Amino acid sequence: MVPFDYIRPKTLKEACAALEEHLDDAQLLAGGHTLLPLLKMRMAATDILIDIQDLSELRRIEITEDMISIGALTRHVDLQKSVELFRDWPVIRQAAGQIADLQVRNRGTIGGSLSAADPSADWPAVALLLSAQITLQSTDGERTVKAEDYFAGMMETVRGPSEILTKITLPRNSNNMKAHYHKFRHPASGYAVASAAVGVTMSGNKIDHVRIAISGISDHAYLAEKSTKILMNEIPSQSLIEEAVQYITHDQTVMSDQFADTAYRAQLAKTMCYRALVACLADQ
Amino acid sequence: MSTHNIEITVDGKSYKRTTESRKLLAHFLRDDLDITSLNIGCDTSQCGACTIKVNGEAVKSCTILAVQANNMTIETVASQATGFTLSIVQQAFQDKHGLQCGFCTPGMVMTTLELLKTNPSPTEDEIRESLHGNICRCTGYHNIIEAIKEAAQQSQFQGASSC
Amino acid sequence: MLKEKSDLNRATDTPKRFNFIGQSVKRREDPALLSGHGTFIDNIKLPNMAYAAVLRSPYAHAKILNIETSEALALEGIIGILTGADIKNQIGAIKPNWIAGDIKVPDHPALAHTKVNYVGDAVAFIVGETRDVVQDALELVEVDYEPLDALINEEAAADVDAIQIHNDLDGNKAGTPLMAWGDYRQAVEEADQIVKLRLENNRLIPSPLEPRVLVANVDVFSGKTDLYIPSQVPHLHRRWIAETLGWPEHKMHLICPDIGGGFGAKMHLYIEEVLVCYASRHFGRPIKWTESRSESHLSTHHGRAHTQYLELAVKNNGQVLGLKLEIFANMGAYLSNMATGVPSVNCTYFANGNYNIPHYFAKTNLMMTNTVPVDAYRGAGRPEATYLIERAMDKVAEKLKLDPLEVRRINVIREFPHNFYDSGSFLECMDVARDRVDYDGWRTKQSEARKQGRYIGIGLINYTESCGMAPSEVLARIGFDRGGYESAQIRVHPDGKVSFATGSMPQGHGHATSYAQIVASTLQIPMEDIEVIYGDTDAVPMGIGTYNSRSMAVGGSAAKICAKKIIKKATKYAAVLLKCDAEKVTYRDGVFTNPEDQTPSEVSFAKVARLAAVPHKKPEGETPGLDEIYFHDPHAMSSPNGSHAAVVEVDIETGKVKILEYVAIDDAGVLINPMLAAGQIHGGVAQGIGQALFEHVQYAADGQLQTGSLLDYALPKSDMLPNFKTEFLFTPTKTNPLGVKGIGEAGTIAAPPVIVSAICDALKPFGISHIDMPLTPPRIWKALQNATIQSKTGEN
Repeated sequence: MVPFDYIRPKTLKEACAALEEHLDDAQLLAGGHTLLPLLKMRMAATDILIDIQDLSELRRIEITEDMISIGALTRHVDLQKSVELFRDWPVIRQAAGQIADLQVRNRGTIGGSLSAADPSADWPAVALLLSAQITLQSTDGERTVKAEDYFAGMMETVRGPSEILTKITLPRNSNNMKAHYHKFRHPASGYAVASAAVGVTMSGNKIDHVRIAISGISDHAYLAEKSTKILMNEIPSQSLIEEAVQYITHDQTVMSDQFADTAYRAQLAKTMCYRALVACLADQ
Repeated sequence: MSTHNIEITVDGKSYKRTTESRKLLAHFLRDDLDITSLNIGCDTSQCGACTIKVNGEAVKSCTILAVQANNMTIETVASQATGFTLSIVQQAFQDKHGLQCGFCTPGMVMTTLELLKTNPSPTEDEIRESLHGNICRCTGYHNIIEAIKEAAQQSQFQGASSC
Repeated sequence: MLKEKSDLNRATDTPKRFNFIGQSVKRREDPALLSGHGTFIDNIKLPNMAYAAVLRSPYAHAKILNIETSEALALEGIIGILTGADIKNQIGAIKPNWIAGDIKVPDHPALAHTKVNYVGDAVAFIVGETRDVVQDALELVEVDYEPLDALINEEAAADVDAIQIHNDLDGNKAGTPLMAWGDYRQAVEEADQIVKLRLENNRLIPSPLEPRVLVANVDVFSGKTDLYIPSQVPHLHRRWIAETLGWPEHKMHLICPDIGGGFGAKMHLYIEEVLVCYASRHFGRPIKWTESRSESHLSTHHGRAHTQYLELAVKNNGQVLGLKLEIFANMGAYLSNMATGVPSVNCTYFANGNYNIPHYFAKTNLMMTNTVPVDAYRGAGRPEATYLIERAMDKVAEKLKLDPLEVRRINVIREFPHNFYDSGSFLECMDVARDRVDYDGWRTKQSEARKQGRYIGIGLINYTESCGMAPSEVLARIGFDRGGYESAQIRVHPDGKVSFATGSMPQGHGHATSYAQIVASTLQIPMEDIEVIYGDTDAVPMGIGTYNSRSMAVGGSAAKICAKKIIKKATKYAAVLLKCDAEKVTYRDGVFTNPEDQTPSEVSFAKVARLAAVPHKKPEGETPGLDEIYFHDPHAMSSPNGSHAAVVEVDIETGKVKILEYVAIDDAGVLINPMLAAGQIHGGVAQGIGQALFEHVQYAADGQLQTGSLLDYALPKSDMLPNFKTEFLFTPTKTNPLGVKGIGEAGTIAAPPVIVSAICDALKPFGISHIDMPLTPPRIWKALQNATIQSKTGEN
């Protein structure tokens, strides 16, 4: 690793002040499972590492009558095991269980994942699916950004250099949406070559509401609006779903690498989405 | 680069040392404390040979800085045996030939302990999934899976917390 | 009949009490390894030890214009830096050990000084006080390169207008060894059909979980060098390092403690091995060098990397009359240790596989490219041979519309010895595998599944190989500069306990256990009384090492013969105590007996050992002590064989393969320890499945390695593999006194063709008969797309 200084603020206030002071010279360290591997490979460097592990206020799941609030330092394993979250959103457990491996889930955090905004990470798609609100804090105060406005590009978000992602807020599942996360794991890295986070609410025999978020395909996770439109207010059928998933990468620049080219990636997105939709409908 | 005084408990013994901020816990344990009951097999946090328990949970010690582990309690595979009597999991690995070169073994055992703590009677699929972060190049996993099944059975027989 | 054969494994000439041959004895290595007390070399720290790092070329092919080290040298904690210019006249070229025929060897300096030839080629060796500081210094050495065009592919390297990598190697060819028997032209004349195919055998990274690591310590006063090295071949490594440095061999002491896997990757001479010794003397410090995993992808030799063209002359009944083979074998940038022999001998000598093919011709093009050198990796040529002939059998079956097993049955070798094969159970294994996998049952399930749009495939292949290449004269004939023997030394201590030393070197094989089984069984004493010593060139008589699945066949035989010599001498000492003629003394269960029953009528092995060590009375003409040393050079090698079967299901929407069943039927003669043998099969099959489905070294056109870390190079993980059903047949070889054949590479050889065969069987309805390895989901999906498109255009 390229040498760096390390500081470990005790409170959110201290952390914001430290970040404000160092801005682009500093990087926040949460679970460290995105940043440390990059630093180890010398693919990233920083002057100062601000370790926010002591910010216990960011390590909690709170559920009120209409909202769920997840602290940024909540680990993948906490999300996987939370009984309360599972009652509303089983899809969170389903997604958490597919992240990397047991040891990584014991350290990695949802805030870290959403801050890194890796195009093949799992939480971005889930955050989009669940209409998450992302809270960003700086010395200037707090602001909240909708998940669909939060991701800005390849490992880029609207989070400013002085801001800390503090919590993720989700609605309660009052409409009894059935949701599923289907992922095609890269055989080496374990990241999503393509994944689909899909939720469906039915009204009688018609789809009342559907939301589809895709990861792994484009430079950041996105909502597949065109596919959604095709499904809305329709009676689900195989042909309808087949038609909808044809547009899963509509308007997207599909990524390509030595494992999967654009055509194959698009096929996986279709297939993951198709299977997630079928699973959602089967749950109704 | 900043240096830091840290206090750390490893396998029941406490240590006070000064460390550079960039030093990984795995290197700190191996090079600074001469605790070699964990191995380093990769640099991308995948092989799991460096798995230890930090505050009771399985963690890859190559993906945590030593300074982050200040005031934490660490357990390695070296503390699992009682004297020269292997623990249930260790014994099952020997009985079922769940190791060949032994390089991945410390990590395999530590991950197994976490699995059996949270899921005392795992299915084969659950065992395979839980080992996703531990690469073995020798055994093809077959006998590791057998060993874990055996350990699960033995620890149920002897009481849940005894593995 | 099979039962009788399995009984052979137990029926040996040693009596019951201390017979450990054929028993699944638990490993004595395990308690330490399971407790984190293994002695892996990176655990070793010597007083005043420094650390080293290698600066590697970022270019596949470039001239070196200038190397500027001053900034790096100024870094606090840097002790010194060696470049090519510094060592030019100090360290000799890195030379191959196997020159299989008329071959030109390009120059390979330990550090490149005029030109780099692959991404990863070593340019400077940096020594400093800490692990981190030498890594920091890597970024401060400035090298001016003039990039040149690069050659990656072995076929492209043979193009007439290809660039030339090494000045003295026209057409980038190191050589074109030939192999033939019969007359292929005659086969063509007699044939009904010619079947052709082109195969790629994908480039792999052996990937033992422990990366390479070295600690060198040169005592400048005595000139003695201690080198801790994870070597599969300690004595060979000692010779190569000494020769390359021009240092005397008796001053080199190689120590190999626990090795974290080898698979062939730790048996070649690497530049770091000579540099770390040289630097230790030069800088007067013990030095440790540990490669990182990603570095290892660039610095530790790769395996396989063939393009093969096959032509088979066949009769319409399925009989194969002739095989013609042309291989383009990618050697990488330099000729590594065994590189030239792996394709041209290990592959082409055995390319007929388990089949009787009367006419054969093979040509191997040894091609230089701007890639990591390619050398022996588990199986080393035999996987490439088995794959090509088994793919060919499927192709013949397809072409002649015959059942693939029927084609195999028609051609399978039934009489032994045959050509290079001493003995075998080729047909029997095939029948057992067919039975155990329930071949016919799966065929029924397959057709039912197809009706539901599910694609199940069944594969069954045969393999054979050669283990323990010998005798040494044969190695001479094929240009292999080493012996085919193995050493054994038994020292009997005054209390009757025994130290046994072998020149072979385990990397997870369990030799401390399996050799103890052999020695204890032969000496008829408890296993606990045997200490097994290896991996120390000062403590072990000159040996060869562990590769080519040779340890039990050659080293085990040496152990047995050596132990028998001890009994012979001990019998004479026993006769002194028993006060009778040595000829009358019998030995059983650790006790010498005078059957004529005078007093004392019995004497233990320990008592005899004591007398031999304190020889106050000696048998006439005998020397003191019972110690023996024996070098066993077998008169021939042995040929294990087997048949593996697999059932797979292909998800045609994603191309993902699920292995539903894997059955391995193997015959390695007598098994010393069946549990360890099964473990070798499991691990070998896992690596073979890795080759078939996941592992694939990929280079960009400019020579950048695209699979430079474990984020891109997919090693099989636990949830990517099935359980394995293993079963053994027992056809002992007569080429060694134990009747054992090798088992270490069988799985790696058998698994690739059986997996590919099963997948292609699943995809038959789409008209797909072959996909090159690895059969990754995208490749399968692409093949399906092309097939679907073809069938659609066909309809139009």
